[in-house]
Amino acid sequence: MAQLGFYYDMTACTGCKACQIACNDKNDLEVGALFRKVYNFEGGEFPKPWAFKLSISCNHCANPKCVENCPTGALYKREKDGIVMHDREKCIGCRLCTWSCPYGAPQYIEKLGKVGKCTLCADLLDKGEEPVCVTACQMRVLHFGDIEELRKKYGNTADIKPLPDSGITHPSLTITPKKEAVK
Amino acid sequence: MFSEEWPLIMFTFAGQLAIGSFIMLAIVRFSLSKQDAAMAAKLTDKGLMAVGAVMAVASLLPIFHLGSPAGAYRSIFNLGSSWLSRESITTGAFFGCWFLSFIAYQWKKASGIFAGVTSLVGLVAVLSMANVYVHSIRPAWMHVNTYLAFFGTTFALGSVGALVSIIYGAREEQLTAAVVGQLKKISFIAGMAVILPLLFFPVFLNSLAQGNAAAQLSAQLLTEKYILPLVVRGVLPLAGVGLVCYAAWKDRLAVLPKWVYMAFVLVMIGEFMGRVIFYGSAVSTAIGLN
Repeated sequence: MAQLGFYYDMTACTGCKACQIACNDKNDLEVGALFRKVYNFEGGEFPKPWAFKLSISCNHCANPKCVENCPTGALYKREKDGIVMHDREKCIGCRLCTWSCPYGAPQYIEKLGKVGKCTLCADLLDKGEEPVCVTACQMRVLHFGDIEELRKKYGNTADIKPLPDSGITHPSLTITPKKEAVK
Repeated sequence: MFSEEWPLIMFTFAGQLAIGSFIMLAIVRFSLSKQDAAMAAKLTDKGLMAVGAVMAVASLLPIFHLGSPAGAYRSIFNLGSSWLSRESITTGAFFGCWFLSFIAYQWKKASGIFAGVTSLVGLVAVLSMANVYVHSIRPAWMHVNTYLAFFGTTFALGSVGALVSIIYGAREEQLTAAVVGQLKKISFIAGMAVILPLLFFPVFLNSLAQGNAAAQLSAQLLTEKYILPLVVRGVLPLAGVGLVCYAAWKDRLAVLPKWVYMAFVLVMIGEFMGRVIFYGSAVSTAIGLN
């Protein structure tokens, strides 16, 4: 099975949030739920302040705790590309997946009484298109593809300062971090 | 966090009260029935009936936690890996087994076997409840403390629940030495079930303080925001089991029913407070918490 994932180049991200907004638009999300979120981190003191952005969604982990814990089977890994899919019909809104993801990917949608999450725009992938967050990125810092290929090309860094230990779920994610984010 | 968690707090609490009480009452009934089956039934029947009522209510509570309650039946569809599925099936199975045991007790046929199986299913249900939390990403739950807390509550509530049932059932009777002996044993188990988790608590707190940022935040919540509730959580159950252990030691349990009822109330309040703290102090491992 191939495993699709994301590459994110933090060093060139401007934090414009085009990825986040494109995702909201594609998934018709109302205020309160974000399938992709851009975080701002800052610190230091004059004359050496620092700041960096982090754009992150579901990382379609190799060992997703959300899939393991979901009591209905609504969350599952798609056989052909390892995407963590979510069957909204099966979801009962128990929110155990939100207790299980260290990246905060599954989002409870109050109005629906169910959870929703990034599916890597599987519907678009099946039509030969790419995820909207990748398409919308004006700085071209967000890429998707076979995670092993991405790791060969960009290195294998999923452990940066603001992120939980990658050993928990083995995210399909690699990042080029700014020096302030390096662990 | 946690206003939406009240149905789960009430479910785990009431479920453990029912399971613990059933186990203790089944042991007492088994032990006494060889000498005086009629007395054993009189002392435990009402308690066993109450177990079913409490478990019936407890089983319905998690439905109020669901965003889509109509799909509650689907919660058993992932038994292969989800502890929540296992919790749903085992708590349902406990209720079913309780019913069969109750019938067996009334018909006086193979009741020991039914009660044994029901007790085992109950223990697996408590284990499943604990594992739902142990397999999360909240360090304060991903700890052996969760097992101690859940099984501690089960046996603490179960013991005082069984004592109340027996004392209530025996209110017009002269208790035999065998019954008094059982009461002593139950009081001792209640004491252990309250004291052991409390003794472990400093170890738990220390390990949280040594953990990741989420664990340290939980330790901070426990020692600051929840410090007063924690004191109440420790003192009330200790006072409760102190009362029954003292009365048992002095052979005065049967003549001091009010002490038993008071102990029941104190242990209930303290253990409930402990469950609220358990939910309130758990912080998720998350982005930005490193």
